[in-house]
Amino acid sequence: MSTPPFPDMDELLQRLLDDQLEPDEMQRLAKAIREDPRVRDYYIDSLLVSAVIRRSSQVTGELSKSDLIRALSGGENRPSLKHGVRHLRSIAAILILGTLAVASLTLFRHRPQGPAVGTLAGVYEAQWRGAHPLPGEPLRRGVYDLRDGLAKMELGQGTSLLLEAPCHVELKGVDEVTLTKGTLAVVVPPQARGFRVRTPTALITDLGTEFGVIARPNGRTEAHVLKGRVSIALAADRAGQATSRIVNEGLAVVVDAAGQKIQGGLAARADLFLLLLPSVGQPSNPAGQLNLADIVGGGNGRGTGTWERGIDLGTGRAFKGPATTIRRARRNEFRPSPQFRGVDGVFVPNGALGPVVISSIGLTFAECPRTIGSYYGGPANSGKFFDIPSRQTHTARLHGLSFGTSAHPALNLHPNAGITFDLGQIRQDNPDIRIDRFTAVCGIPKDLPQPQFSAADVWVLLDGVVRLHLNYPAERNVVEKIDIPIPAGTRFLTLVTTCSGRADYSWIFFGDPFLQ
Amino acid sequence: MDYVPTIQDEMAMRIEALRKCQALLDDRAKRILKMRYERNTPVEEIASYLKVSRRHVYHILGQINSVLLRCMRRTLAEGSRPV
Repeated sequence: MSTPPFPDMDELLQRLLDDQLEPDEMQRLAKAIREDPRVRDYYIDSLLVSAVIRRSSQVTGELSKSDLIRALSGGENRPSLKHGVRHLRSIAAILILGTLAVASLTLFRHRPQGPAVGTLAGVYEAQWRGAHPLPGEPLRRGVYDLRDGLAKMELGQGTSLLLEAPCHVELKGVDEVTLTKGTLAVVVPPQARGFRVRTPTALITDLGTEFGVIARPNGRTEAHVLKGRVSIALAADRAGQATSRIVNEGLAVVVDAAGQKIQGGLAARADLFLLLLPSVGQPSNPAGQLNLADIVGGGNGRGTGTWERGIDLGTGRAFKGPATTIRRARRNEFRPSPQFRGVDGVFVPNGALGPVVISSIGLTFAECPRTIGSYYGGPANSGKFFDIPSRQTHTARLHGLSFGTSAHPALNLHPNAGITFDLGQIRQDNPDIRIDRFTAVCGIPKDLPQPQFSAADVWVLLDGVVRLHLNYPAERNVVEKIDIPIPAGTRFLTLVTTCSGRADYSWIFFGDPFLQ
Repeated sequence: MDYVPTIQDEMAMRIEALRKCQALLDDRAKRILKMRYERNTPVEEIASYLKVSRRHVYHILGQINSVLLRCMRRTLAEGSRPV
């Protein structure tokens, strides 16, 4: 049986994998899987095909047996073929039915329905899971799960909500929203006073204000009052009593993960919230632009590079990331990178060790500050960072947007690091592209596993002359747009990141790093 | 004693079959798979690239899945014949 048991089954499965099935389609598929063994077999085989392709593409770019076998079969036992296939199918079936059950519950219980409670006022590269409204469309009571980007909702009484992905909310009405997970900024006009935001551990009630709420995955809630004041109470079902306090403008409170304590006296962090949607981002590597992250990944700037590939600061050679080890350079040494077309070389900047050479012709970075000379891999074509204590990899986000994708490439430059691009060579290889600007967004993700240990600096140099210096203090989240004109004849573009102390969690990256 | 393939052997055979099948896909299908799985390109962007609707992208991905599945099964069936 190799043809699909019903005509649109292949398409339904693809949309199921993206969580884009409507409830009636989900019901139809679930019923067919339950009742027809042919559908079940086809379903399982299809998902195995998808899993194999997905896994192999993500791991190596081509099929890799060992990875796939580890990923898909697991275990050390070597049972017989019949038992093996049955075992495999059982695992797949359990996983699939579990997924279906969870998806069905989510869709059927919380699918937005009923009268409109507001409208979707605007989005910034929004990707939704489940319900995916478009700007201008009505919003109804129910769950909205923003996976990427930003979305602005305007509710009936004029309350404005700005969701920053990943963000999971349930609209309860014009006067209440539940924030299960994520970051939400709320602006409440006088007529909507009393608007409520519930989280798993707290209830925040507006008293005429602008405020931001962060619901962490572990249950911890943060409320930051930007204007006016709010009252915050522990979630009633956990505390069983009315424990609440008033929080005034400029202050913040934290409710612990257990939902049992409110910690006050903290300063509000306005930098953690967006009240306005940014302008639309740059398109993905359109004609006339060269992607520097792709060049760092060994490509030609037009998408031929390898994801997660970078240049080792200690050797100038390629490495496959993300980096997992912190090293230290004992002296300033420029490492040429002949393996990478368009890259002159890399270096670990440390102003305390004498002149910092930044190019193959001996240009130096005179303003380079003292660093401790530590480095973490090197520049990489990646939006991912590896957190050593938790052994987990995190995807970099700025303004709710994931970077390190084909839509939004990222050049990861964890301090202390420097890379010099040979614009002469890049021009020679790309005579059709006029290079007269370097543009990017630059920042440190705000949802770090831990706060950065010390302030970080970003430097952009043209032919050894500093053209831009950005400072990233440890206590404030900053995202900067970079747009530097490049005069004709400039040969070297150098990007440097430095840290005044320990560089832990100074996860600096350049998003959409384009020469144009 | 008869040779009894293990789960790992079974998976290796499937992967090998899929490798051969993927190579037989036309350039358009390969490009779409690369965008979708290797570069994690959103479906909206693939739709824009192909100048089709999002729904049609899922349809195309479904067709590719179907072709690969048929090819994989055929390859396994041929490969398992006694020599």
